[in-house]
Amino acid sequence: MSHPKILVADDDSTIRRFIVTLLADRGYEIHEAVDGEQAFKVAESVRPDLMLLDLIMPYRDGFDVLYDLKHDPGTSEIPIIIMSVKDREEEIVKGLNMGAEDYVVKPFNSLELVARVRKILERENRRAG
Amino acid sequence: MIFLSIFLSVDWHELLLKSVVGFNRYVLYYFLTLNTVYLVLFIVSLFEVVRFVRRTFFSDYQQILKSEMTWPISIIVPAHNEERGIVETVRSLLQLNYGEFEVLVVNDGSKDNTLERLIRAFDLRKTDRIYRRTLPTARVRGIYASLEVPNLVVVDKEQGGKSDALNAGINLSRYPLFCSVDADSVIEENALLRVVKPFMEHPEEMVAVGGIVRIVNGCEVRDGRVVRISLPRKALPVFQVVEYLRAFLSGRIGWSVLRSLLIISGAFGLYKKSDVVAVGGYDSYTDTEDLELVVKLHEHLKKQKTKYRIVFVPDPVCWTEVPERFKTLLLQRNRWHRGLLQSFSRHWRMLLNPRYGVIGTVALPYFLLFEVLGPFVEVLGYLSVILAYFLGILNMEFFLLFLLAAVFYGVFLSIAAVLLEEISFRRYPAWEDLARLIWYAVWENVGFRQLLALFKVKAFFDFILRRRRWGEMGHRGFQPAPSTASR
Amino acid sequence: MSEILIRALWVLGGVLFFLSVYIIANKALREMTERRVAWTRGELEPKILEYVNGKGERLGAALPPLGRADRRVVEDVLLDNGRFLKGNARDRITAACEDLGYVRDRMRQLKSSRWWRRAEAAEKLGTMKSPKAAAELIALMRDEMPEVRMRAARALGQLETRSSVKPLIGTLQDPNRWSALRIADILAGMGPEAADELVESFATLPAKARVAAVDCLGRVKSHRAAGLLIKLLSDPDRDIRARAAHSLGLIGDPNFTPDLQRALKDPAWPVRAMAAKALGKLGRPEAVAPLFDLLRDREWWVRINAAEGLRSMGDSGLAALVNAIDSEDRYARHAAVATLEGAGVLDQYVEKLVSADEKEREAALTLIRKIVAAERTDHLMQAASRHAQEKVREQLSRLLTPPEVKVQVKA
Repeated sequence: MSHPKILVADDDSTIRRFIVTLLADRGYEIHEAVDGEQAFKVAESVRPDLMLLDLIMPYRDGFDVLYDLKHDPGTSEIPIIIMSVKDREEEIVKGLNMGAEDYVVKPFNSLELVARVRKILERENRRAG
Repeated sequence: MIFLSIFLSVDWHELLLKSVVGFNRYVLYYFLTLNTVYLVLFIVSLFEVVRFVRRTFFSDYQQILKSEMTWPISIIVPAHNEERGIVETVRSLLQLNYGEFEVLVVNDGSKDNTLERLIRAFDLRKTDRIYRRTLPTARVRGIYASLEVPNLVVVDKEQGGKSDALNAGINLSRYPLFCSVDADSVIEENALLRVVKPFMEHPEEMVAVGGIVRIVNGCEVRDGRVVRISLPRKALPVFQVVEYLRAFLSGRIGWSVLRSLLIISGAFGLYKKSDVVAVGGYDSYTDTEDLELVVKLHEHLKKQKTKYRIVFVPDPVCWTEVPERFKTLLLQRNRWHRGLLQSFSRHWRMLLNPRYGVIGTVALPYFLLFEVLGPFVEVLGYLSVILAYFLGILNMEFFLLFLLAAVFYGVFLSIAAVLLEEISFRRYPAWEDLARLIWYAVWENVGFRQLLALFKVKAFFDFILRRRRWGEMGHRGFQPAPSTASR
Repeated sequence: MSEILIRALWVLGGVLFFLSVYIIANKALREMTERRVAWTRGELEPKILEYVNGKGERLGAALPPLGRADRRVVEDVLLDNGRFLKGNARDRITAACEDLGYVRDRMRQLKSSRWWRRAEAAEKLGTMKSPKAAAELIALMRDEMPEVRMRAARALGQLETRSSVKPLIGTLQDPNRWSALRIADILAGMGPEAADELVESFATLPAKARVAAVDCLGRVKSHRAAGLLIKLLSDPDRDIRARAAHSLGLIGDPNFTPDLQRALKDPAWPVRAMAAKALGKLGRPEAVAPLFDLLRDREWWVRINAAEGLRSMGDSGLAALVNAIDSEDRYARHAAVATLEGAGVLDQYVEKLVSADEKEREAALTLIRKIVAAERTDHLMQAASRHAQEKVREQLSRLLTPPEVKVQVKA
C-alpha cells in the first residue's frame, strides 16, 4: 500500500481538521464524511483501508451506520475504529460486538490513535501481501 | 305614548355623532393600552432572552446528555390518519439527542394504514404491557412493541379524539416526565435537552415547560430534520412567521417571566406526569386541550398553595406547518379562539381572584379585555372610524393619532420582534429573508391583524351559538394537514 | 395639538427607521466579522495544529505577531481542539495557553464585575487545564452567582488536581439541587482519588451532600468505598440506604450479596427496589429465592426490579420467573410474563414446541399452558398467526383458543 486511504466520519469539523493534520503528515490519504449517509456513500466509493467513525452524527444513528457497513459486501471488510464521547460500558461492548476493530473514547490521546491506526494498517497489509 | 314622545324628542343625529366620537376616543385608548402592554412584554422578553443567551453554554447540554441523573422522558405522539408521515416522524424522534426516553405512538382509531405502516417499518409485535388506567380513555385494542427498537411502543385504540389519545399515552408511559408532540411536527435534535434543563434546575417546583415553535413552511426538511431554513414564498405564511415571532419570542417569554404563562403549544410541551394526572389529564370538551391543561394546572396548584413553575424556554425546539390557504387559517384561528373562550368560561372563577396570584389578577383580565372583548373593540373601532369619515366628523388630527396608536405602534412592535430574533437565535440567515421579514412586519399590522380580529369575532358568535364546523367533528383536535407539504 | 402629533409621527417614523437600520447594520457587521475570523482561522490553524501534534517547542515562535482579534482566534482554536484531546497533545495546548498569556488574561477576567464574564473565564480556564488557575477557581466557588460557581466547579474537575477534590466535595451541599447533581457528576468523573476523599470526609458532610456523595461512590466504582457503603445500608435515612444499595450494585462485587439480601427486607420500598436491582447485577444464585419472594411485594417498582434482577441472573433466575407465572399473586404473574417476553425467552420457548427433544417440547408446553392460564396471551396470539413455521402456528392455536373463538390479527 503506497498511501493508505483513511476515511474520517465525524460531524465536528474541528475534529476532522485535527485528524487530517495528524494523519496526513504521516503519509495517509484522508477522506472525510460529515454525516451517516455520506459516511456510507464515501466508504462504498472510495473503499478506504481504515475508517474512523463517530457515533453521534446527523441523519442516522452511528450504530445503524456501523451495522450497514458491516453487512454490505462492498464495505464489510473495512476495519473501523469507533471514536465517540459515548463511554458507557454497554455502548463500547455493543460497538465491538458489532464488528468494530477498536473503540476510542473522546477525549482521546492523539499519539495512541496514530499507533492504533498504524497497527491495524500493518496487519491488513500483511494479510493482503 | 310617552315612549313615542321621548323617542321623537331625542336628536338622533346629534346622539349618533356624539357616540361615534366618544367611541372613537375609547378605541384610541384601547389601542394605546394594548400596544403598551405589548411593549412591556417585549421589554421583559428582551431582557430574558439576552439573559438566557448568556446563561446557556453548550457544555450544559452535553452534561445533561451524559448525566445519569437526568430524568427520563416519555414522548407521546397522538396520531389519527397519519399514514403519510408517521414512520418518518417516529424515526426522527428515535434519533433525538437524549439519554433515556421512550416514544409512545397512540393510534387513535385511524381509518387509514397508520398502524400497518408502523408495524411493518419497525417489526412490531403485540405485547402484554401492564398499565394502570389512571385516566379514563376509549378502549385500547392492543399494545405493540419492537424487539429491535426497545424504546418504541405503539398503542392501538378506538377513536376518542386527541385528548383521549394523549391520556391513553399518559396511562402507558413509564417515566415521570412526558412530552406531547404533534405527529406532523419536526422536532429539533437537542429539543429534549433544552426543555428538560428547567426541570433539572428546579426539580421539585417545575411542572411544565414549553418551547418556541417555529414555522416549517418554506424550510427544507430531510429525514425528519430541518436542513435549510428560509421563509415561505407565499405571503400568508410569512405573515404568520412574523406573528409567531412576536407572539412567542416577545410575548410568551414575557408572560413566562411574569409567572403567568397560560399557553404551551400542543405541538411541543414537557410536563410532569404526576401533576397532569392530578388535574385529570387532557379534556375533550375544549378545542384547544393544550391551553385547557395549562389553565387547569395553574388553578389546581394555586389552590393547593404549592410552589410551582411553568416556564417557557426561549430556545427553538419544534417546527410546525401553518396554514397556507385562507380557509384553513380561518378554521384554525376559529378553533383556537373557541378553545380560549371555552377555557375561559370554565375557569371564570379565577378571574380577578387574588387567590390565583398574577394569573388571576393580571393574565386573565388581560385575556378577557384584549383577547375576548378586544376583537370587538377593534372591528367596531375600524368601522366607526370609517363611519366618522362618512359622517364628515372625522378630524385629521384624530385620524393620525388613531393610525399611530393602532397601526404604527404595532409596526414598531413587529419590527422589534424581528430585531429580538436577530440578536438572539438568528435562524433566518439570508439577507433576502431579513428584508422580507421587515417588510412583512409592517404589513402585518395593516391588514393581517385586522383580519384575525374579524376571525375572532366570528369565532365568538360560533361559540355562543355552539356551532361546530363539520370537518372537525370527526377527529377533534387533529388538524387536517395544510395543503402544501414542504417535505 | 397637530404640531405635537406631527412631531410624534416623525419621532415614531425615525425610531422605526433607526430600528431597521440597526438590524441591518448589526447583521452586516456580524457577517463581516465572521468572514474575517474564518479567514484568519484558515491561515493560522494549520500552524497551530502542527504545533499541537508535536512540531516545535513554542507556539509563539511559529506564529506572526497577533492583533487582539487574532489572539482570540488562536485561543479559540486551541480550546476547540483541547476539548476532545488528552495526553501529550493536550499538555502542549496547556503550555501554549500559558506561554501566549491566555491563562493570565482569563485569570484576570475571573475578577470581572460582570458575572457572565467570570463564568466564561472559568469555563475557558477549565479547558486550558492549567494548574496555575486552581487557587483562583477554588475561591470562585464561593461566588454569589450559581452559574459562576458551577463553571468554577466544572473547571476544577477538569484540572484534575487532588487539591480540587476537597473544595468540590464542600460544595456538594449547594442548595440548588441541579448544582449538587452536576458537582456529583464532576466528582464521579475524577476517578478513584475523588472516591477516597469522599470516604474520608463522609462523616463531616451535611445530610444533603451525603446522598450525592453515595451516588458518586457508586459511579466511580471504587472498591475502597465498599466498607462505607455496606455500613450505610443501615443508615437511618432511607434515601441513603437506597442509594447505598444501588451503588453497591454498580460496584458489582458478588461478595456484597449477603448484605444486600438483608436489605431486601427493609421496610422502605425504595431500598428494597434498589437492593433487588443490585442483586440482579451481582448474579449470585443464592439470591434467586429471596428475589422470587419479592415478586409478591406490595410495591410495583420493587416487583419490577425483582423480576429484572431474576432475568439477569441466567438460567436459575429464568426458571424462577417461569415458576412465578402460576403464582397466586396476580402482580407476580404479570411481572414474570412481561419480563420473560421482553427478554425474548417466550419466543425461544415457542420455537421449542417443535423441537426434536421430548423434554424441551414438554417444557415449552408447560410454560405456554401456564401463560394461557394466567391470561396474558396477546404475544402468543400474535405468534400463533405470524410465526414462520406452520407446525408452530398449529400447536399454538390449539393451545390458545377454545374452539368457538376466532383469533383475528391483521396479517
